[in-house]
Amino acid sequence: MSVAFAAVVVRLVAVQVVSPHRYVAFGHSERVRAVTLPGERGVILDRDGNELALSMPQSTVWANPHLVTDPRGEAQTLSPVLGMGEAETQDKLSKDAGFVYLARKVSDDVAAKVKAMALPGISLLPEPQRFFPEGDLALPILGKVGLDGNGLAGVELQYERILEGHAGRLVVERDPRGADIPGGLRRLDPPARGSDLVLTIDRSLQYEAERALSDEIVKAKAKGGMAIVMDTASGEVLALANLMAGDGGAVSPADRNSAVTNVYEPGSVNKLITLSAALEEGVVRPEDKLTVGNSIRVADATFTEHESHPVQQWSVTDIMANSSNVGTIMIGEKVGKDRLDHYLRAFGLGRPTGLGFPGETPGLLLDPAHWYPTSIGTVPIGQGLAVTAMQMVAAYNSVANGGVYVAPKLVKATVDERGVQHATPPSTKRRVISPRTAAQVAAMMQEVVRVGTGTAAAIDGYDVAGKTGTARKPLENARGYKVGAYMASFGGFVPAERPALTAMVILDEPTPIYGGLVSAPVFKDVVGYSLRQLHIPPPPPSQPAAVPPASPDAAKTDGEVSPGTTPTTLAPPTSTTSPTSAPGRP
Amino acid sequence: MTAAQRPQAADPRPEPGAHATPARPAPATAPRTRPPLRVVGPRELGPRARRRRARLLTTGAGVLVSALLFGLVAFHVLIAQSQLQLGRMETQTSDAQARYDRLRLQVAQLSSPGRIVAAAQERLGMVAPPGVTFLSPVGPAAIKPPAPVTSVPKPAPVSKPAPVGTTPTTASRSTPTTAAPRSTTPTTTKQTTSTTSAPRNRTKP
Repeated sequence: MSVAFAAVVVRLVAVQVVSPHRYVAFGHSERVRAVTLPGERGVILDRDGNELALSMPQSTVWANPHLVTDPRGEAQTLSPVLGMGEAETQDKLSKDAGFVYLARKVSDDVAAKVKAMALPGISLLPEPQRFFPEGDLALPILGKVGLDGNGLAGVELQYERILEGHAGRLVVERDPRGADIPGGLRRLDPPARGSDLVLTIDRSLQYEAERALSDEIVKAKAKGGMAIVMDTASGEVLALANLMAGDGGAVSPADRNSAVTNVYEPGSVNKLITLSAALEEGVVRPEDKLTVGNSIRVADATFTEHESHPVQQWSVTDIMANSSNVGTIMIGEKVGKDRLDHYLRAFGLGRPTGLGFPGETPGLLLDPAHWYPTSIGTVPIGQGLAVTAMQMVAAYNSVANGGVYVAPKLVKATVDERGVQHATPPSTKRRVISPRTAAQVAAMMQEVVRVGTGTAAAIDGYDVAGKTGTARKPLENARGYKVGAYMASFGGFVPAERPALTAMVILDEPTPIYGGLVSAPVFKDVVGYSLRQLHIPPPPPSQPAAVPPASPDAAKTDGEVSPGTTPTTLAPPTSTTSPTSAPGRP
Repeated sequence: MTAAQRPQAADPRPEPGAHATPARPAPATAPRTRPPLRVVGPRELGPRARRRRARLLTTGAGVLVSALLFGLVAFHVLIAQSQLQLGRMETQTSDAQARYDRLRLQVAQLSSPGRIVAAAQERLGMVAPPGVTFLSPVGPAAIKPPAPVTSVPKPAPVSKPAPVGTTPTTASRSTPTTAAPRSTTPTTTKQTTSTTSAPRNRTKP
């Protein structure tokens, strides 16, 4: 009895006196639990507050292999529910670890089944999952998030710091059943929710833009397409569609925001800048007539019209309405390479738009000092340079804004954790051309839609100003152009007298190839819908700028296709070439 | 001051060992005096009173300790109940938040234009209108200002292949620079390409 008592005393002294800290720590670790509380990621909303992307807790199934008593049996039970291989599951359950993921962010049904099984060592853990309730709508803009909830692409990546939530921590004493011990330790460091992001995108317009573009891609058997609708005054992007055709003709969102990250040769839509520069510099006047032949020789290359025509006395308006290559090159030569380069850059080409979108490219503009002898023939008609669709719509928007460039804008505001909305700064603006020049160019663009190459873009009740483009596609990693491959585009704004919307539609390798036939109808559909959706009435009649209307002869031709004999985009000319016939119109 | 130091005359009690003698009346000339009064200290209580007082104190202390213990237990019970209630409320909050999130997602999905169009066409059998009807205003307000003076005659309508899905309009306002006679047709019911004609031919992820 005494010995037993002595043993107890010795043990008591050993526990209480000799090494008490170890047992205190052990007891502490048994009772105190530290739980990480995930910070919810902010929501991405459209301009009207409709959710485009939001996070919701989903259950993750995890295991503590130390507590798993029968790895094989539990693997047999779990694997069919989790959709995993039995061997893989058993392997995970047999690991020498205290925490193993079995399946992350499973559906509610699966989570309920796992919970009902009540298998030893198997638990559920809430983790936020990103959802896109609109399906694939605007996906190339929104981007995507990784398994751990971090942005990987699109605005999810660009605004990661704003959207991401900050995890919190709860330290609490719990009994063996997991219940909080009353009066025990409880220390909460609350998680911080990420801010919401309000885009300038209008959900309805985005849907319509994607729908109309998708229909046309299918109809024209195009490889893909882009469509942008912009609020003229503010530069806010209301719709930005990026679609591509997959195998079998099914159309799906492009794998990236091509309108910002991909470049293409603009072709005839670039003539707007050439003519704006000429008018602004006083090189030509709207009523000036030029003697325009069927071809023109620049250095060692010959540029031709798309369709042969006799020598014409064309006004600048005729040249615009016809999308005349020869006439535009003649005007471009009058402007000169330095001034032309100045206006190209002033209109926003050759540098990022300021959106800051991940992967945005500034485009390709050669320094005038490095221009090739033929560049004064190619650049005015939109070859020998590369732009993004966003740059080009911003350039058109400059004319719509009376000559003021307004930087595109994709994010309207952020909403902090308390629900307070913080508007983003307004877009930067700068004057590019005078209001008079802008009005003259706009009036010429109206002629393009009225009687020129862009009649398919006409919208009932409104005057539309626009310009078509059909540009050849350069070869990839080689000089020259792909045979039969074209980028068909149409850019414009409406109402022409008081522009409210500016838009650009581009189709990649459509059939037929002409922007006036494939892109202009999409413009009409999308912008027409937008006008109704946004309740934009036709403005009262006003006096348009004094430019001569397009002549009847001009209206009968369609010379928007860039010649196929010109040098490649940014490569020196190879040799003197003779005029070749561009693809005929269907 | 001790009891020994106090004036003896004030003590009404007889001295110990004093003989009891029959009381005699005081001389008629002597003044009649009252015995002095003083406060009796606790230590001067008798043993019986002291015991009673001790019992009272003990009882009071016991009651007090019992009350404290009871209060302590009640307090702990209260804390435990509050903790349980807090836990239940936290669970309710969490469930409500999860439900709110699910419903929010559901509302967003249900209000999606793609779903609405699909439901309208597939479930309700609705069809998109073949075109949009535009009504043109009549009267002086509808007359546009004259075109600027130009030396070029107004072009005739273009005889080019009609683009897909378009039809020339008879009341279009797209004649800003011409002096051509405008159509006086008061209204048009031109059929145009619908903007909501069909669901997107797209694959869903």
